[in-house]
Amino acid sequence: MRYLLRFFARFGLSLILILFSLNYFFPFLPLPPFSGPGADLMEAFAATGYFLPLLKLTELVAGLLLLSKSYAPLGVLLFFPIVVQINLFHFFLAPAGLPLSVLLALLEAYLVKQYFYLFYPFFFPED
Amino acid sequence: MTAKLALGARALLGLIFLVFSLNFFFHFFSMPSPEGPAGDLMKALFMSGYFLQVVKLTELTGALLVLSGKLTPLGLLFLAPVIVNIFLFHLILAPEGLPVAIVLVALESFLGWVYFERFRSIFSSPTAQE
Repeated sequence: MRYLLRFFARFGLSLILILFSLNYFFPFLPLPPFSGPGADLMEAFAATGYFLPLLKLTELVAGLLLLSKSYAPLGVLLFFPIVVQINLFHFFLAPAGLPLSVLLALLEAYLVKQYFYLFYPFFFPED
Repeated sequence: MTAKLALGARALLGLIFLVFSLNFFFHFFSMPSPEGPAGDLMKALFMSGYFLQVVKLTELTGALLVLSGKLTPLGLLFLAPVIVNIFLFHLILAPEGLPVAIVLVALESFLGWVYFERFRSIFSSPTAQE
């Protein structure tokens, strides 16, 4: 049971990440355009020319890593700051998108909890 | 020898981020305002109300962790994405700040190499629990 749950969490998160990051480079999802204060920040990011590609590339890599059992913890780690920012963005600037971002946060939190014994040495080194 | 260099690198990296992140919150010295597209981005980030603040908080935490010695790898993890972005920002939008950005990249990379064994656990496969 635990195995299935973790499997679906990993693949679910991976699917979402891969779909949305690929959509940035090759638009195929019918998403509503940004509006309101969130749009200003997104426009500022887009204007830099490098930030959004870097972000979406990191999402894509994290999504792909999550597919592999061996490298899933690395994908979890890579995605962590992104999911924090996604949630902050939606919380402060675009509350309409909160449900999806909270779902991502829950998936990430679950995976962090499952893999925490691998991150443990960072917080509690023995020496 | 490496230990002394590592200590110096930790102190420098930690101090740079400590000073600049605290300056963001308490303004004890003034930085020249960036112009052009760089300035636009910084202004937009600041206007968001949370983004720059969260980044500076991450810098502060990372700096303290790096200075701590015991939890330095954790601090390096916190600072890594920040440094990637600082480097790209200066490379593409504000080249006058590139020397400092390169120094930060060098310090982070050097410390990452020194502490590499501590990062091994992330790369190890999850055990047969799955």
